Amino acid sequence: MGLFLFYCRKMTLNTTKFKPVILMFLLPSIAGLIFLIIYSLSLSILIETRFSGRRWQIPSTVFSDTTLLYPGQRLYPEFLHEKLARLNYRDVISTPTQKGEMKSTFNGFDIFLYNAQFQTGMREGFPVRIHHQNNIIESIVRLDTGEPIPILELEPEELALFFGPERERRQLVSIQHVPDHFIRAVIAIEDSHFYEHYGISPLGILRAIYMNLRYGKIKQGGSTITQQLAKNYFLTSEKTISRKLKEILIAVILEMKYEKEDILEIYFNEIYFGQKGSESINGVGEASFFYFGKSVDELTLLESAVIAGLIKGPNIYSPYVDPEACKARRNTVLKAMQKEEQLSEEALRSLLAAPVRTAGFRIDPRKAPYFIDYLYKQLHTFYSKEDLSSLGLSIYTTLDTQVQQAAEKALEKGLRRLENARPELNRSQPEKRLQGAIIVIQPKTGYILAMVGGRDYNHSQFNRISQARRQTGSAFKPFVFLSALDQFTPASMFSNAPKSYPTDEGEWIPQNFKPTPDTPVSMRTALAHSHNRATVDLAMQTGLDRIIRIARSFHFSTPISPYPSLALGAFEAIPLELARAYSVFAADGVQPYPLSLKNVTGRNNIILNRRHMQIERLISPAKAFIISSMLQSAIIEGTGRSLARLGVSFPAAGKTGTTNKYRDAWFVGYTPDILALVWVGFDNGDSIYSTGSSAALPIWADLMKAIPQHISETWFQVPPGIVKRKICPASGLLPLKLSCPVVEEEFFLEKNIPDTRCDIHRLRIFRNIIQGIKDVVR
Amino acid sequence: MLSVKNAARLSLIFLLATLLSGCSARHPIPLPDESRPPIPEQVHPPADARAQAASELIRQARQLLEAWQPDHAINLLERAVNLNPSSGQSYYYLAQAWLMKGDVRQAMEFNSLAEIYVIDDSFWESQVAEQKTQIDHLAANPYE
Repeated sequence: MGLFLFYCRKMTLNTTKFKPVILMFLLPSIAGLIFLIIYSLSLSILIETRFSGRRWQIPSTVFSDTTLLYPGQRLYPEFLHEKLARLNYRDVISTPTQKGEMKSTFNGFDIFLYNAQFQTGMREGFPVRIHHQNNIIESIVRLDTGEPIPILELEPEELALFFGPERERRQLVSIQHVPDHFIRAVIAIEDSHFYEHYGISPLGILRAIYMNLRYGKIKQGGSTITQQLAKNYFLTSEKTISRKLKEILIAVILEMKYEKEDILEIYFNEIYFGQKGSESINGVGEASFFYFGKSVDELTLLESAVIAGLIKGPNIYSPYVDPEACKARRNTVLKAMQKEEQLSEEALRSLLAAPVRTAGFRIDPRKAPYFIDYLYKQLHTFYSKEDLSSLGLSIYTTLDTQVQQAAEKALEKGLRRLENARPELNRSQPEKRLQGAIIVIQPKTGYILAMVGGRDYNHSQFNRISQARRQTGSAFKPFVFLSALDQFTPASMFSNAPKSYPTDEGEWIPQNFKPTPDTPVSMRTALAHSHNRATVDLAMQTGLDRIIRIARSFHFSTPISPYPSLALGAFEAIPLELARAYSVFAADGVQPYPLSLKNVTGRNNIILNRRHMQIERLISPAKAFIISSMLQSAIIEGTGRSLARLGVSFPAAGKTGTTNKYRDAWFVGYTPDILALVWVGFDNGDSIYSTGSSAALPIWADLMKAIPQHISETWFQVPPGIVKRKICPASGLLPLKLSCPVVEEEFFLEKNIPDTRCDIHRLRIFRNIIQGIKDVVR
Repeated sequence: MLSVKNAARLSLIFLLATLLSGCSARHPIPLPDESRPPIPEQVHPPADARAQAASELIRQARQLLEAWQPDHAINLLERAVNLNPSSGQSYYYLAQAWLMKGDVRQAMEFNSLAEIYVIDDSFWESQVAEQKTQIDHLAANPYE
């Protein structure tokens, strides 16, 4: 203790005369040191917080449904080629040898499939030959084994990304999946002493200081990989001394806290690699797909060198921007590798001349934007906006991009045709133009295959399929006729004569669209020809309350009032709900819930949410069949008969609809496989001067002809509870053998078969006797 | 002279002739309903490409069901239904999958659809009937 006091006193005596100097340097140094320690601690906490949580905001990706191909399938080869191009398959002139390549011939495609993740697991890519003839797939064969493939699933198509404000595309990769040659290339060109330094390279910094002093401005950074990571991840890109000091500090802390491999992994996932339109390409995972159409573990040495070379200036050395500059930069990387003894002289020489081959990319216009909006609203019940733009979810949907494209094209073509035929339909303001909407559903499952909510999403985001409420007109009639099936049969006769009905606003006399004889018509004819008077007669005999009850059971959410005009569709419906209601007829009496979302997966393909088809029985299969049969008559002989002229030859059922003053034109048509609803009208309710059969039906026909792969050309199987009987069409009753001049067959519900003979022709036999006597007497 | 007997005979022949003539010479009566083409005969879905592709999916789905993966199986069966809506087997296995998932109501719905499409196939009819019994039992005893 005494010794310690002695030394203290001695030091005090010796430093007395230097005290001011010491104080002048020591105190600020101590203060600076304390500040540095505190600041470093705060930075350390910041780094830890950022790295322990979610490191990146990864947008969620929305995918279409997968596409099935099988021998015997009808399809247009040009549409398949378009589909493959949208899946980033690139045309080559020789047999594909790499994943993502395809070669088209006049009767087939050779495709080297990508690896793909399906719900049942991962599929490794393999070469396959699809042979087609006369628009039919004849065979699908693996090119490597010669094995025939009964059913081939193409990967889902990317539809949209839910970005945050940064609009960064990024696919995270683990360092274990990054090939060694890529790591060596990056280290050789960016930071050859990476494994030796502690975050900063004093020599590099001195060199940078010298260069900066020489040129009188910040010219060179002298950054290590760790410093680059510090700058990109935590700091702005401004070039100031303070920012540089921060960068150094963070780099050192990073090196203290993390292993070199961890730093590399974060760096590879963080770094900016270029631009795809308005979206930035970040991380080597995304870059390898963007530039070479493959996952990072499949990159070759040359490709790795290209990507490594991009770090210095992604938009200067991008092969898509300047292929020559890219090649020169790649060669610089290769030379740096050779200098670091990563490459032999010989290997270098052989590599330098190789061309840069890229996958190519296309910026597609927004795909199915109305569908994406509709989906987004549904997703909001599970995920916040922030989650969707940061969790990197994969959202798989029911959308079929081929059907979607066909629907968009058919709608635009149909609307243009109408505008050309009737100049008064043209509007100068884009937002006031003639509008239309289409929804395509698979009626048995409820899968929404396509949704076109309007003519041009850029001008109007209002989704006329899911948000509009429009009068249905005659498109509602099938529900009126359905309500009558317990009392009446398709052969029952109804009055088609003018008749007055009392309403709150006075007497109402429904009119037929076209002049028709006043003679009674059968239920089948009334629906097929959309006779208004007979429909109202049927509705009044059935009871409006019953019709409303039945309609509500079909999940129409809009109000329905018990006016006689309800029978003619004087109520507003949401088109999606109308399509869903029609699905019941096409699905043996069960109603599917309209499905847009199939499942949501998180990282590592773990399923977070899943949706299956959900069905609910609303009516018997027999009633559904009777309505479908009557709606088939509408196509064969009624308001939809022009379909045959438009080239639709397969069995189908459908109903037109036209509202007062031609404000809305509808056509809802279906087969056992597919159902599509088409609406045409103006948003403000102006007249379109056209009927459902002239405005909406041709659009439906165009759409159906473009998607033969979805149409089996079969008709509904007769379900239990249906019987076929011969009837006299004049009375709708059982025919008299020797008396009824015409006999037809009709379907009946088993419980509701006519049991009486024709009363119109009952006296015919006696009339014939009398006539015979008269003839003999004469 | 015409005897009474002969007169009766003649009258009978005359009556018969009149009756027969009434049957042969029909005068068309205007119909209230305009004549329409006959309703097409039922077109049975052929064993076509779609049906074969659907069968392949059903086969894969059955394997998934055997591995107790009803969700994956349902996904495949939904695709099978889309390809061939008249396949009773798809609905049968969908009912089976929903039973595995414990949703008796959905199983019941799919079983009733299967019933429609397995007519004329005694093996599948009995399978569907057996499944229906099982579903009815589960519906009646939900806590078993």
